[in-house]
Amino acid sequence: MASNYGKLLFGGANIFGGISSFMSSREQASLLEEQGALTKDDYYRQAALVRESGQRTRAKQTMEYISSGVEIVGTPQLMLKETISKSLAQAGALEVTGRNYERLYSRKSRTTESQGMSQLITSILETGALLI
Amino acid sequence: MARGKITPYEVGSFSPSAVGVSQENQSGQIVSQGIAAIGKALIAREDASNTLEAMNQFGSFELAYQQKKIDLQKQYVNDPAKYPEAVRNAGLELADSMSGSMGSSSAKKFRQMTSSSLSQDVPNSMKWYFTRDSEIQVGKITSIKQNLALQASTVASAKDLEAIKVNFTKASTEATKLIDKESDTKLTEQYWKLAKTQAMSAQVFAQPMKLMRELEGGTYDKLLTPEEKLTWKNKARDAVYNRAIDDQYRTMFMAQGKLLDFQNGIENGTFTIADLVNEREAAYANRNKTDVTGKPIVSQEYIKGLDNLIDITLYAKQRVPGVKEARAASLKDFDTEWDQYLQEKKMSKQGPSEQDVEKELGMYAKLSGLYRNGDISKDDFDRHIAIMRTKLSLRQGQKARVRSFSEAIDQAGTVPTLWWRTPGNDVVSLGYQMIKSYVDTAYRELGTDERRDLKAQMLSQYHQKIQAEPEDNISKLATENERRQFASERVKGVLNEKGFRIGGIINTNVTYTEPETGKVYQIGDIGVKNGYKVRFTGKDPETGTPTWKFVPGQIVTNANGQQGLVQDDGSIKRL
Repeated sequence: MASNYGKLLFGGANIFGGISSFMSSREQASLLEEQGALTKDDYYRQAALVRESGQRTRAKQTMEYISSGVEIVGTPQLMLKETISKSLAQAGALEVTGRNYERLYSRKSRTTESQGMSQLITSILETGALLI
Repeated sequence: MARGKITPYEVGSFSPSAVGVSQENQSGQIVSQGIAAIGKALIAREDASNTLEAMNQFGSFELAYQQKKIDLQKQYVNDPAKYPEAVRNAGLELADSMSGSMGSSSAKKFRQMTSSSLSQDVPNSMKWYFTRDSEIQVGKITSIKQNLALQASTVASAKDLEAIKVNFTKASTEATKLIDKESDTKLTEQYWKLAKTQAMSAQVFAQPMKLMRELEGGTYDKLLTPEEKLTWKNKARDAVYNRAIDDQYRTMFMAQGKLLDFQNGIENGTFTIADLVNEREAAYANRNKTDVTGKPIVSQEYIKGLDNLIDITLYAKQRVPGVKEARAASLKDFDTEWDQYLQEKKMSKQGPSEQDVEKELGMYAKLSGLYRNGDISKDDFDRHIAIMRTKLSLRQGQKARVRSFSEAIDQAGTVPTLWWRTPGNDVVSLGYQMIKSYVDTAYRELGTDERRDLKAQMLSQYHQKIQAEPEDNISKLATENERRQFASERVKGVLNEKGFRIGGIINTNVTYTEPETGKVYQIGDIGVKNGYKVRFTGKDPETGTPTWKFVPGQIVTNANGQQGLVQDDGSIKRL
């Protein structure tokens, strides 16, 4: 009888541990999701700045050409186009990185949550094994 | 800004698309651990269940197997070589049979257990086989040697016994091929000893004289040890002397168990022929008395047994040449004295006289003494008493010149007057009167002749006492009271310091006064001794101590704590 009480106590503690792990993993997953979203936002903001910076640089170059009496055709036109394309490429790259970080954290979150659930299931199984 | 100079667009740092990978998702492993744990538990549980079932079945198997072994041991008791294989096959069959109804895992475990058990039991089966085989061989050899020992009972000579010894040697030669030498030696010693005993006993029984001479002559020197030779020589010698006695004793004991004490007493010297004669006379005198239940206190068989014992003892004694010659001489002396007595009476032309009583009682006493000492037989005694009674004249038709013995007894204690006889008041007459009065009172149930014989015995004893008394002791008795007192002391005895009567012809012969109570016992009276009912059977004539016998029907215990039931004939049957 004493042995059965011991098993029940041990099983209860095991399940409690499993539940705690599960709750902890869900909290951790939520934090990771949030971290992913924040990182993506940071990159998107940086991409917007890069895009804006490209527009300003193009406007400046346009002014400089015009003030220098250069007609915006030919090379100057190509140069302005290049400035815009470069800034857009760089902004696009930053956005891609941001999205990738968001996906990465999302995956980490799911993994953590999944492992928490697994811990809970395992604790229940182990308790069952103990009681068999 | 410098004129003609265009601000270039500065590209920032490269932002990589690869941002790393997520950690490995170990959920599967984690869950698999739990599943593994429960699987392991299930396996362990099933394993335990299978083990339990197998062990339970194994217990039943062991019981059935042991029973099977017992059955097979009985079956192969005379053919033990087949037992080990039979018992193993039986075990395997049993295991097959019992595992049929089990699950595969349980059956597997069960078979593991039974296989192990059967393997471990093989040495036991072999041991039983060897032991039983040895028993059979030893039994056969024992039987052979027993037969040899039994054959020894037909041995009629040392040569026969030697032949048996040779057979023992031959048997040992064969035996040591089957059993170890030590066991054979032990068997040989045991049965050779038995054979010797059988052979020698047979010869002691069949031809003791021849055996005794051969033992003395060294015929058995190579067959017997010096101690054995001495033992068997003594037994042969005893058998030579006692054979006839033993035969008669054996017959007598079957009918008269109570005579065993007398027989043992005669053999070990605690009883004499005189004791036997006294016992016989006392028993005979009391043969018509009955106890309170109306049963005779002395059986006829007992008297016959005593007569037989007396005859046997006398026969044995009289076979000794010296005694035989003494018997003949004693009887011749008696006859001579009797003839001389009659001749003197004739020559002196005397008729019957008072002196005849004294003379005839003296001769009766002498004859009685010879009989009691075993010098003559009962037949001799009876024949000569008959002569004393009837041989009154030397020739047929001649007038008797002596008083007949019967007449002498009847007239003892009286003296003649002018017309008739009156009681005398001399010492002799007074003693005679006391004896005759006592016998007539105490033995009323006897016939005249039997009372006369009893009187004759006592009168002759009194006569001997008076004869042995110094003349002065008698001549100084001046008054009748003194003479009566003198006679009474010798006939009835005297009171000792403890107040009970000792000595005296009457006391010595037939009565006993118990010192504690003063109660007087006659032969056949019942008293209590040591908590047991006993019957007074007489007195030891030498020591004066009373002799008692247990009353039949009671359980008695001896000094060793053994209990026995007293039989009707006085013998004790051990319980």
